[in-house]
Amino acid sequence: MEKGESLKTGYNTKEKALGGEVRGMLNQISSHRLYSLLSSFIREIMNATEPDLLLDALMRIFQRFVDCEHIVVLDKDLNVKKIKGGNVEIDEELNKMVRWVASSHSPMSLPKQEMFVHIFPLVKAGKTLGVLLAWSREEIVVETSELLRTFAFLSAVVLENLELYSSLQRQHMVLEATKNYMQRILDSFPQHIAVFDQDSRIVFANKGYSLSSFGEDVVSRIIQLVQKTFLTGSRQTLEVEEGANFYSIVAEPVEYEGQPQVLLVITDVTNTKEVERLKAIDQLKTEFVANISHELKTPLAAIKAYAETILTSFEMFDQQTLNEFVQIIYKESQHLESILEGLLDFSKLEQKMLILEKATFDLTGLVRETMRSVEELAKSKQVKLELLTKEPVLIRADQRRIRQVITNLLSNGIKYSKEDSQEKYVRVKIERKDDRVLIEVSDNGIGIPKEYHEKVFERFFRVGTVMDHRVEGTGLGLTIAKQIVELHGGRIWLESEPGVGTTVFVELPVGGER
Amino acid sequence: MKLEEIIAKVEELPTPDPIVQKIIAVASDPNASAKDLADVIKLDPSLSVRVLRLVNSAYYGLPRKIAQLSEAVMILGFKTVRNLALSVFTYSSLMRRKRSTIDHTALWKHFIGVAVASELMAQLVGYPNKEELFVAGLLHDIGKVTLEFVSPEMFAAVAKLTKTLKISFFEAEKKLNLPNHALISMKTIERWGLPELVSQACGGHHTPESFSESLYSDVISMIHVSDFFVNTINYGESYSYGGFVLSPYALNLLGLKPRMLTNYLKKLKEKLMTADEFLKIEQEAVS
Repeated sequence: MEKGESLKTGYNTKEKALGGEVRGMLNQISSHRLYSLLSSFIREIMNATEPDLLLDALMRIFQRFVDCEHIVVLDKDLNVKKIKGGNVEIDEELNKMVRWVASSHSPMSLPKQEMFVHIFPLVKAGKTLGVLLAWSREEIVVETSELLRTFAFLSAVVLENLELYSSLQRQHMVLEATKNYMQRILDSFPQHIAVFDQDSRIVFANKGYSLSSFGEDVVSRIIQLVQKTFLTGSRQTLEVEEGANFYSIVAEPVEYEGQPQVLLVITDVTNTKEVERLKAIDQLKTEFVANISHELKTPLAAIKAYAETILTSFEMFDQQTLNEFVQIIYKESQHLESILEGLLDFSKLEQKMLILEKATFDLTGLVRETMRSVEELAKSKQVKLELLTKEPVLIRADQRRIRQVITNLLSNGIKYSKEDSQEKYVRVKIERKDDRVLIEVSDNGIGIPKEYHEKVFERFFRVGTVMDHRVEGTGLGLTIAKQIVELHGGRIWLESEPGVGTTVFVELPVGGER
Repeated sequence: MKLEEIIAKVEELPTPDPIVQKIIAVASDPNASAKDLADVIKLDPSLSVRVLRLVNSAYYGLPRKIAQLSEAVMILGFKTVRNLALSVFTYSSLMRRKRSTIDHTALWKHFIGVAVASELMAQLVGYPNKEELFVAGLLHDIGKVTLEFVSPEMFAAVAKLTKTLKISFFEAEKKLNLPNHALISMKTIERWGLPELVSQACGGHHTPESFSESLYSDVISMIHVSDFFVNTINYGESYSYGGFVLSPYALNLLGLKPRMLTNYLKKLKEKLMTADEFLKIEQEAVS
């Protein structure tokens, strides 16, 4: 048998024509052809960016070596993945052979109905990634078989890498989607959330933080807090106020890929603060109601008791006793009236319904008169009242209201005197300064701690509620005084030291004199 | 005795069966077809029968029976059929020496064990040309047969030494200042006209490190590791009674991890169970 006759490569006919003597030359041409095919294959698999393209390249190289009518690529589960050259049937026998090839990793040429099915496994390190089937009328010689097998192996290596790459890409997409999902969740938080790296650069921020517009001052305090958190490695908190808003800031150390970072959460606590304030007012109101009830009840009880006594035993009392009783009833009702008036004033002031009735009068005289009206109270507490200004000071104001202010200041001075002290006094000084008048009411009483200097002017507030329950009063006096003074365009403030005494300053414009 | 002297004696060995030589030649011819190979094998009817028996053995586990040699060549491949013919030939030449002092059946079992293990190793490490591994595994210790043929006394001395000192055949040869059997294997195979890959793989199977420059260093390492495992599971008899060394160089070269080897060993035991047909080639031939 002639060796040439058995050749089934594409050079089959050529060789027959040229005869046996050119065999050496043929091998040379063949290897030349092989190298160019190899180069093409390498180029193609290099360019294959996805498994599909790679399989296309592999199918093309098979077609160049063997004249195939159909090529089918099966995946690792032996399902058809790619078909070239029309559909073909994979019958039971072929299916069994394919399975054998897949498990034994050995290629096979199966003679089948005048044709050959060349079956090549796509194997990578013991793992079958797929199987290639090529239907051809040609038999394959040793060299071609070895080469195609090598190509199939090479393709499997690249195929696995591409599949890994694709799965990596899919994972990356899932990761990206997860990241967006988390971002959306974090964006929906009312808090401003950000993560800082060691150079105080923002590496993550939610919508709340990105859209926030803090002032320079707040930003620098945030940066300081972040740096402090890096230094101490422990959780830091801070409260800042900007405009009408309050923010609570929490900075916490976190770690990302071995690098320390700081998680910052800023919460707007303005509403919480407002609620706290309202709660405090509510508390004050409750106390006020309790207070005022007590204040109203005391004179009422006296009036009721004396009136009852008179009614039941009228004949038994002499004229003098009766007179005394009625005097008490009268005095107590006056007290009651003044309390009610105070309440009324307060409510008018609250609703901005108080109208000043201005007239020109002598302030010194008014103070002198007022002193006289509280003389009895002063005597009962052994407090000496002193008016240091003698000359008249004219002022245009609502006389009745100013008297109310002076009365309140004087009675406060008397009420908050030191019980066991000698030489207790309340002194008033009136001074004209340009177009303003300054009234100073000073005492050597118990004094007011510094933190309450502003608060005593707030409605319902009584230092007494905190410090001393022995002193009576509605707690509205200074509030009303302040509002009256401010209604006149003046100011009221105080200087005080606990245990030394208090000086209240009232500054009023001289008003419409000119 | 020097290697050259032994080789000189090897030259005197009967040349392999002309049909086997032709089979090797055809299987190595890049332009050979299935029919070419089948036609050569058919020249020896007894060989044909035995080859077909192996083709249809449990070791290959083909889904259907193969009746034609040319079909067998197409389905199992040129190299595999060549390997089967070589197996039959090697077996026959081993068994022909009835008056030998060594247990040929046990040695043959070792040959087949390493052949199967090497082919499986190729699959494990992803080496496509696994049929060459089979034949290299099959013939790696053929040097021992050569040594015994050339000088049964020397062989007996080595075998005694390895048994008493519990050292490997290779170490015993060194102690007796004999050329090692791997090199004798290589020289023997070169005469058979098998690819260089096969002769080198056999020549270096005890010293893979010293073949690091070889084109076939990976194949040499595969044979080395396979030989080690077949020895440790006591499949057959290699006339080595201890001193088996697994070369770290070979493991590194092949990128083999302990877990892979455990898995490999399990698969190897399963695979060897299917290789029984290879152990009783002669019986079939007699019938």
